[in-house]
Formats: sequence, C-alpha cells, structure tokens
Amino acid sequence: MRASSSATRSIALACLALLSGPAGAAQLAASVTDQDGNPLADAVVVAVPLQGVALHPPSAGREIVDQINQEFVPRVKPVFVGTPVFFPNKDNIRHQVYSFSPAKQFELPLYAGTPAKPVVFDRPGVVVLGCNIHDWMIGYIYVSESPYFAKTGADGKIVLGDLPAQAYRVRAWHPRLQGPESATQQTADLVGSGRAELSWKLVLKPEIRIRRAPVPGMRGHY
Amino acid sequence: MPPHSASLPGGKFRFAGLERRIVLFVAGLLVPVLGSVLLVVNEVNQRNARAAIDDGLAKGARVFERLLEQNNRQLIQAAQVLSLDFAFRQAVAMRDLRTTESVLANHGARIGADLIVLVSLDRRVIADNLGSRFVARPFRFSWLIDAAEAEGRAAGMEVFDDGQLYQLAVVPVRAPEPIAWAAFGFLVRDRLDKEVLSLTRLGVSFFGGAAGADIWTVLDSTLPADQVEAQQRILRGDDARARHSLTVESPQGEYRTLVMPLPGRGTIRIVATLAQSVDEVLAPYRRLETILLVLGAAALAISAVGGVVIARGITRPIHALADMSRRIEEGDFTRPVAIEGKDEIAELAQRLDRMREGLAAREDQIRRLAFRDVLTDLPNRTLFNDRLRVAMELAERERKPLSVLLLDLDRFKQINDTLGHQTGDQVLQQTAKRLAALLRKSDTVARLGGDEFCVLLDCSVEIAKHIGQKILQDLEEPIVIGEHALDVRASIGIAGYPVDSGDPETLMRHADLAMYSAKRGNLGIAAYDATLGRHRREQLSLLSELRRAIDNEELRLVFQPKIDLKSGEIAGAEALVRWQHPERGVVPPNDFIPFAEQTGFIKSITRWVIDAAARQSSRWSALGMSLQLVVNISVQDLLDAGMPDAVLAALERNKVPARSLGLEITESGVMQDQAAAIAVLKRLRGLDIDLAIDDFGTGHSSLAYVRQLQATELKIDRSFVRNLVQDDKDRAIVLSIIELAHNLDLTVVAEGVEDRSSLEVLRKLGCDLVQGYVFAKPLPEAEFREWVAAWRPSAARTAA
Repeated sequence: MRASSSATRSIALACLALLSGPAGAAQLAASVTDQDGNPLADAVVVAVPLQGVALHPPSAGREIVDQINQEFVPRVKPVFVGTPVFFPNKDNIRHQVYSFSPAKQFELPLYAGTPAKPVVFDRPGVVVLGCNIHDWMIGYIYVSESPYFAKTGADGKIVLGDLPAQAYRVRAWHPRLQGPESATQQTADLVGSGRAELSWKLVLKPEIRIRRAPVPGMRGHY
Repeated sequence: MPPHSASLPGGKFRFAGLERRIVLFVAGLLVPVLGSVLLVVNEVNQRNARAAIDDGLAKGARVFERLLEQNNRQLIQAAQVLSLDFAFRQAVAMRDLRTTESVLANHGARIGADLIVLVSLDRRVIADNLGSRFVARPFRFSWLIDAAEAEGRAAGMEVFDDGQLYQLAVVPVRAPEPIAWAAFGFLVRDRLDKEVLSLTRLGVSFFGGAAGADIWTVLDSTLPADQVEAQQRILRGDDARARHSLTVESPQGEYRTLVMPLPGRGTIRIVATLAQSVDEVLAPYRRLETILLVLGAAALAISAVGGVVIARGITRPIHALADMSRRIEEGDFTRPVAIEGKDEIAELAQRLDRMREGLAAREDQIRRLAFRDVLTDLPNRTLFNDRLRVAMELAERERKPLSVLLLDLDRFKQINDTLGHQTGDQVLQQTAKRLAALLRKSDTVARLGGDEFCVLLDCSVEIAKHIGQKILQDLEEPIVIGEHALDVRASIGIAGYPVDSGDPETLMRHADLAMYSAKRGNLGIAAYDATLGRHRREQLSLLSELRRAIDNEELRLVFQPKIDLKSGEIAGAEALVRWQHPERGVVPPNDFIPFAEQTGFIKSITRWVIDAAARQSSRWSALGMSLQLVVNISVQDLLDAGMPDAVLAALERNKVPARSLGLEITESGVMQDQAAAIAVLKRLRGLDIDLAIDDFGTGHSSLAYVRQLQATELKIDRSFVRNLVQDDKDRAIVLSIIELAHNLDLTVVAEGVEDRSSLEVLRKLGCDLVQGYVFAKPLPEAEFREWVAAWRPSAARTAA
C-alpha cells in the first residue's frame, strides 16, 4: 500500500496548495482497465483545472524511488513538477540510474547508498528510468504539471478528494499506453455535484520484457 | 607324297590358329567378365553416387539450416549488444547522428556485419553503414519490426534497398524503453554462400518470388550462370510449398537439386536450393571405372601376349617337329631336332628324335636289305639288275661284250631237306665265298634267291664258259660243314650281250633258259642258243596239257635194255616215259617230270607208267618175250600209302606176275618221312617186286641204309661212270660200291655207259649189269622188239 499512501500524500500536498484558492471541496473517482476490461494498476490519472493552475514554488516535499532487488520501486512514480526525487540504492550492488527522456535527462554515476543530491524534475512529462548496469530495470517518473494526480492500485481505481470544485481536463497514462496520452483526455465538471466518476479502457502495447540476468542466490527470471 | 606336302602350309596355318584360339579364349573369358564387372560397378556406383548425392543434399540442408540459424543468432546477439550499449543509446537518444553512425560502424566491424541500419520508431531509416545512402527512407521490412516488437528480436532474409540479399536481424534499441530499431545484416553472397560451400561443397542458390506466385527471380547463387538459369526454368510453375528434389540438366552437366522454401513472413517468398553436380560425385567412381577399364585392358593385353607366348612356346617346337617330320618324309634323317627343356613337348621332341634315329638306322638296314642278300652279303637281285643295266649301257657305249652267268646248285633242295636249313644256309654262304674268291672284285656276284647265283662278267660268252668251268671245278671240292663233307654241284647257264639279247630282262631270261638246259641235260654248263627259248615257253601250259596227255594217251613208254655182263643176255629193261605231244612232238622227261613232281601230278603219271609197263609186259609175254620192266617212281609215290595197292591192281589187271615188274627209287627220295616211305617199300617188297636204288653214290646213305630200304639192286650214278676210264678216284668209288653191294647180295647196275672202254672197266670191276648207249639208247616199243630180236649175247663182249 505504499502507492496509496504516496497518493494520499500527494493529495494532501495539493490540498495544502489549494487551501488559499477559490475553494469548495470536490471529489473525482476513476477506474482504469486494459482493453480486456481487467483493472489496470500503475496507471496515472491527472486532472488539470480548465482555468489553469497557479504556479507554485518548489515545495519542500521530496520523493523517493528506491532500487530494491535490482528493480525500481515503485515502478511508476507520479510527481508534481519541480519535485526533487532521491534514488536511494538499497541493494548491496551498485546501480547507475539514467534517463534520456526529453522531460529530464540525467545520469547518476555508479553509486551505492543514497546520492547526496536529489534529481529535480522541473518539466512535465514522462521520464523513463533505466539502469545502465541492469538492462531489465525500468521505471517511470510521471512529472505532472497539475498537482491533482493519482496512481491506480491493483484494483485500477483512484479517488481524488478535496479538489476545488471546478471543471477539469482529466487524462490517463500507463507505461504501455498505445497511442498519445492526449487521446485519453476527458472533462469532469465538479462545480455542481462536487463529485464525478470517470473510467478508462486503455489499449496497451505488448510488454517487451528484458531477461533478467541471473544473480547468485536467485533462480529463474523475473 | 603330294597330299602331305600340300597339307604342310595348312599345318602351319593351324598352329597360327592355336595362338588365335588361346587369345580368343582369354579374350572371350576376360571381356565378358570385365564387362560384367564394369557394368555392375557402374550400376552400383551410379546407385551409390545418387544415394550419396541425396544423402549429401539432406546433410547439406541440415547444415544450411544450422548456418542460417547460427547466423541469425549471431546477428541478433550483435544487434542486442549494440542496442544495449550505453553510449550508443545515449547518442541515439540525444540524436547525435555522427556518433550513432560511428558506433554502428564500430559494432558492425566487430562481427563483420555487412549491413547495419538504425530505424526510428516510426520505421524510417535513421542511419545506415552504407554511407547513409538510405537515410529517411521507409524501412520496408515492417514484419521484422513487428516481430521484434512482439518478441524482442526478429530475423529473416530480405533484399535490402541496395538490391543485395541479406540475412537480417532486428532488435529494439532501449533507453530503456525502445527508442529505435537496430537491424544487422550479413550479405548472403559473402557469408552464407561461402559457409555453405565450404562446409558442404554444394552449390547454393536463392530465388525470390511474390507471395503465392510461382515465378522466381534469381537472388543469388554460387552456381554457374547456365545452371542457375536452368534451375530457374525448372522452378517455373513450381510453387515450392514443400521441400523436394529435382534433377536439373544444363550445359555444365547434371545437377541434383534440393528445393527448400525458407520460412518467413517477408515481403517476398524466398526459396533456397542446394545443388550437387552429379558428375562431380561420379568423378571418383568414374576414375575407379577408368582404373578398372585400364586394368582390364592391361590384363587382357597381358593375357593375350601371354597366350601368344605360351602358344609360341607350344607351336615353335611343333613347327620344329613338323619340319623334322617333313625332312624325314623327304628321306633326310641326318638333322636332329634341338628342343631344350623338360616340358612335355621337349619330351615329345626327344622321343621323336629317338624315333628319327631309329628310322635312320632302319632305313640303312632296309637299304642294305634292299640291295644285299642278308645271308651271303652278296648283292641281291635288285642290285644285280641295276648293275646289269648300268653295265649294259656302258658296254653299249664302249662296244664291248658282257656275259651273264647264272648258277644253280643241283642238290640244294635235298641238302636243305635232309640236313636242315641251317646247313643249307651254310652251303649257300660257302658257295658265295668261293664264288667271290674265284672272281675279280670288279665282277658282280649276286645271289638272286634260293640256290641261284648270278655273275656279271665283262667278257664274251666264250671266255665266260671258261670261267664257268673254273667255277664248276671249284665247286667239285666238297663243302665241309661240321662233320659233313657235302658234294655240291651246280648247273650254269650263260647268256651274252649283245649276241643273245640287247636288254637286261631278256638276257637274264636267256641265261635262265641256258641254266635249265644245262641242268636238264646234266651238262654242267650251257650257253644260250635260240632253240632253248622255244622249249622254255612251251612249259607254260604244261599242267593242263599233262592232264590231257594221260586222257588222250599221249604218253609213250620207251625201253632201254639192261645187259648182263657175264652172260651177255638181256637182263631186263628200264621203261622210260615220253610225251608225244600232238603239236610239239616228243617232250623230253626233264621238261615235264620235275614239273609234275612239283605239282603232285607225278602220281598220276607213275600209275599210268606202272599200268602201261604191266600191260606191255603182258603183251610181250604173250609174244614169248619175258623181260623184267623197271619203272622209276618218285618221292611222292613213296609217300602215297595207296601205291602198293595200285601196283597190285595193275599186275592183276594185266595178269602179269610181280616178278615182271621192278621199281627204281632215288636214294634221296627216301629221306623224307623215312618211316612212311619204308612202310610203302616193305609192302611192295612183300608183293615180291624188285626195288632198285637209282643214282646211287650221289647221296649220303650208307649201304646198310640201302638194305633197310629192301633194295635188291643198286644203280651207280652216271656221273661216276662218265669219267671211269680216266679218273682213278671214280674207279675206286665204283669198285668199292660194287664190292659192298655184292657183300650185301645186291645186284649192281651201271648206267650211262657210252663206250666200250668203260664197259671193259666195269666188267673188270665186277659190275653185274650195264645200261647205256654202248648197247642201245631208249627205244620205242617196236624198235625195242626188233633190237631184242636182233640181240646176240656175244655182242656184249664184242660190243656194238
């Protein structure tokens, strides 16, 4: 339930940021399935207010993407733009985390433990994380221009509470999403009822898995 | 001999045929065997080769598939290594084209990839290692990317935009999500073809066609152009859905071809073919066949040469033997045949050579036998005739006379009969020696046969007569053989050239006639005169005429009186037979009696004579003339058991007493089969018939023997009487005979007394009876009766 707690935290932050805004608390619920109707985990739902979002200075909050057992944990990490993210290495081997994504290109040279500096994701977009040593390690940091976002759990559902009651453009994203993300956009007007419910059926690309290298003490493939 | 000599070349031809037959036999044996072997080998080779080809193609196909797979794996691996290279990914992600290209070149070089293409996610060429010629063009092989998208990697065979056939592998370039596609390719021509060729020695070709079509274009081939085109032609209409084999003919030769559709979802269907040249596979088998053929030919040639050599080895000695036999045929026994060795032919040659020696020796002997008389070693009749002919030719040229002296022993038959042939032979040899000793070396003495000798003299008949006399004198000396002293006498006939005849045969016949004449007349020696020939010829039809003579009463008796020397009375008479031939007149006894004795006809004559004598005696006794008639009987009569009965019958028929008949036998006549002869004589004597021994003194019997013969009278041979007056020796012999005979109480008769002086001697010697011309010659009956009537006993003393 790490993901949900993280989502809660984000929502909490967003709430803090909106406390001073035109207010009124509204709630947006959403469910995401794949093309077969199965609940889709690790999908990110972002709600962008039609009237725009006030730019906030970088918050003091910080996010963490661990490297545990040669995987990025969590695999998908949505962050609000400008958020610094730490990449602590919990394995007893070194990792070299990189990204060639246009939203954020960086490279953390071989390291163990937590690098001293976090990486600040200051442009919205998807940042694909890789490890130069372990080809199968792949992670995503979704840099959202809106503070209102959430990631689905295993049930494929999210709830965004305490939203300012206004109209939103809402879109869904998933690492295997087929086609452009903008195509998933829906609108939700929370002004009247203060509540809306959306659902997505996403067409996914086949997952191209990279074989995990065998590690001493471990058997089989990931 | 013409047939033989004519067959000789033919014989040689047959020998050549032996060589041919051996060669033909060897060839006839080897050629089918070798032919069959070659056929079988060829058949097996063909089958093996085809099996090997199909096997090779199947193996080749496996190798091909493995190579294909191996290359794909290698390409994929290389592509994956590249796609995970951080710098490369960074360069691609950063869209750093220069770096990207250099990394592509670097990685391509690592595995020797011929083609490396970087393809964008929207499937356009970002970069290529062919000088970036194809940048921004669509990457046409979406299926590879689709497959790589689905499976992380993909491989296949395609014709790239440069027109070359490549084995291609495509993998994603991740960062870490796919940001591009990397395609690595091996040029099939450079890589797969060479590998297939080096591993399988098979020709490999690739054909491409639109999906579902059955028209194929040549993409690539290691085969000669002609063959590829031939394959292309044969594949037309072949949809090549499944793997199958074909046989493809082209000017380069026959190729066995395996058609393999390659799996793939490519833009075109690709068919690979593996081809094996049948000739190439057959080449070692062909070499084997060639070797076999050469070996076979060599074996054939060696066998043929060997056959000829063996045949020569056989025929050459056979030729030599044939030559030898031809020489022998021609009468040349001198040259031996020289064949060395120990084989059968050499042995045959040695045997034949010994045969040749034997023939030579025998021919020599035959020649001697042909021209020499074996017993006496004198020339024989043949040689004598030859010499006579030559001598006559010479004599004719030189106008000189020649004489032929034919000599016949008088008593030889008796000697042979009584003393045996060995003694006879010795007599002949002694005679030959004496003749040879007596005559000059230049005179030819020959033995013509039996007891007949012939002498060729280059002198006139007159001189020859003298020589003949000398010979006779010489022969009077008894021939001593063992304990016998044999008194051999001879009769000689002489004929002369040119007086008697001009040709050898006639001359010899004349001499023969003269000799018979001499013998007949007891003359010792006689020269031919023309009258003799007539008599001789007359003898020829004697036998039939003799038969007729008895039936026709042509025989007559003549009578010669025997006078008692003491009383002067006529003691009796000898009845002698004469033949009054109707045409020839009187035939003397010597002309037909010996002949009758030889033929056995004498028995008929003797019986006639006995009967006639008895009849005459009967007639005379009727006339008051009582005379004992003595008849000569022959040896054959003595052996005739019916003889005494015949005599008795004659006496009875004519009603005359036995006393009125006497028989004369020659002492030698008794010698043969004494027992039978003596039995006959005893019976005759038992009939009271007087027996006289004729020609006594010429034989060798003792008087005791004469007595055994039941004789009552001895007749001294005329040869003792002839020279009685002059020859003391003869006189002594006659005296001793008379004295001995008297002692045995035998009457002694001397015959052939011709003159009074002899008569006186005989009277003095005490001879009892005398018979001869001094009183009367044999007279016909009428004259004899007149003579008897005119006889006065005093005449015996005073003589005629």
